[in-house]
Amino acid sequence: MSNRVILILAVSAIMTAGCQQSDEANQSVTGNVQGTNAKAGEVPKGSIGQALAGSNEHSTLVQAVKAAGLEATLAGSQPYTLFAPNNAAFGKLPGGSADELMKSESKARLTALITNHLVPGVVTNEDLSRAIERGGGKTQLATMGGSTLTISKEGNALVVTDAKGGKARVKGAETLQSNGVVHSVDGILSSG
Amino acid sequence: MKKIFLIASAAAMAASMPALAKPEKGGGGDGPQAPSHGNKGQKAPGGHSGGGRVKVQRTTEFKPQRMEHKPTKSADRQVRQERKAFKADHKQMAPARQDRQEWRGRGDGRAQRVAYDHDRRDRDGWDRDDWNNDHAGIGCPPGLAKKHNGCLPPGQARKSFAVGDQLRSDWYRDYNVPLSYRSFYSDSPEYYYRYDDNGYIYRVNRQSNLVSGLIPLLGGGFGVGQMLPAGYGAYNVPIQYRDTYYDRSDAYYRYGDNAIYQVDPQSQMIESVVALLTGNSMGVGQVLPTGYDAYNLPLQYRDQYYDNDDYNYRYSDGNIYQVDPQTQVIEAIISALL
Repeated sequence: MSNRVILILAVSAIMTAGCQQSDEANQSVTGNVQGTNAKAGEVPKGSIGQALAGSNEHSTLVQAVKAAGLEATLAGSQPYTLFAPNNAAFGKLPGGSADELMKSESKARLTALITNHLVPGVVTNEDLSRAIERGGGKTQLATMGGSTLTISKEGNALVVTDAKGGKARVKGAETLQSNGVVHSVDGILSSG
Repeated sequence: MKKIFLIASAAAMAASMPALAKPEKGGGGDGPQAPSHGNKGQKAPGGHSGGGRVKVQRTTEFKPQRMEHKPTKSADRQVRQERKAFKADHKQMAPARQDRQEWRGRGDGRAQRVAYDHDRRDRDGWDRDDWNNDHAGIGCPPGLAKKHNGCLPPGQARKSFAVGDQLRSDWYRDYNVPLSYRSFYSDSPEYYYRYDDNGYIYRVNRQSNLVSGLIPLLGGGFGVGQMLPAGYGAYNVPIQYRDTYYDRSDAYYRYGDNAIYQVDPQSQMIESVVALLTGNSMGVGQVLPTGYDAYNLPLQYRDQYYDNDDYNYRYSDGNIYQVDPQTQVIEAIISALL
């Protein structure tokens, strides 16, 4: 090979290495700790409601949303971030409580419970990571229900602490949809 | 089609609209693209050129909104403030009176004048019912006339106390949590719970009498499958949502209790909850409330409004707020109509 080609290859190699390094640097700063379903540049189709309906892990929550009359909200045009308790989370409620919640006389309480898992706007894993870093290890999110959730990290995992001090972990990748994002959690978040 | 308006004087709008331009996107080496594209707290390596950054004009032309009052120690002062706010609110609602009278005239019989006792006076010497019925113009929905919050349904009324406040013992001597909530909020050795009739339960530390938690009760008078409560005959959706939720022949939209409801025009039955609001008071000149540290803009706005050294952007209740990153003061409101 001519010297010029070697030089070009060398420079290319250095530049590529530089780019990779900056990508890694970006990832360590921004790092999607839980991963995401979002593809770069794509606006996802389907609503939060549809994502839940299609999930094996959230059938109890889907039932709760129906019982509270909030299906149109989660399938609508306004943006929300939902910390979605999985079936196991509902299973942790004291015996019979989950069933009690679904009854019509519990509607106000069920609505209050669901809105305590709902945050305005779209807060992705990456947004959370940045905010946690800026906040020196934690960040607070105001819920639609009026209380505050504190998000922090334990290792690579996101941890949500509710107003009562109860903790839940974010499980798996986030699901970005047309009207917001879903983070699956393994506990029910209390408002107080 | 997305429309973005500045809530400001018409002059400010006219002046600033042409100035809004999409910024140039950063180079290929920036790492993850949308949705993270907009969320850069500092300049990305090889990132945006100086000229491309969008600056929303600071709207200094109009007065900052009144700061939200901290709940006061004096119950009387609180009531006077609420009365003032109530009058201001109802001045705006006055034009809708005709609507409401027509609605009443349909003969569904639900809008009844509340019977009241002219002689009942409270500790301020006010005849509450007189005030409620005379000043309301619309008439208080049944069940709310007796409350001193001026007919505001739960959730819309101002909180009587904030976390950290001292509870006034003369207000809440008795355990008065609504029946359906008692099994979940029952007094314990450590805490006691009191309800303020405005839609909020307060958890109070027994030792200190300081409010340690606040539970808002949603859906006080509203629920899917229920009739729209009396007094909601007029279209009252907040401005930033009006392009999305407007009355049609097959659906009406009404706002109440921090939610927007779709209502059947004929039966007045609430068919669904189409949107929820935080109800947080956020106006220009106010400090951003707790819980908005993280960037939270919907994806379609992230190219245009992204955090930088000069401005942060936060979404809430149909609006995008431009915030000073240092002081956290809201500088401008961009009404985002999705």
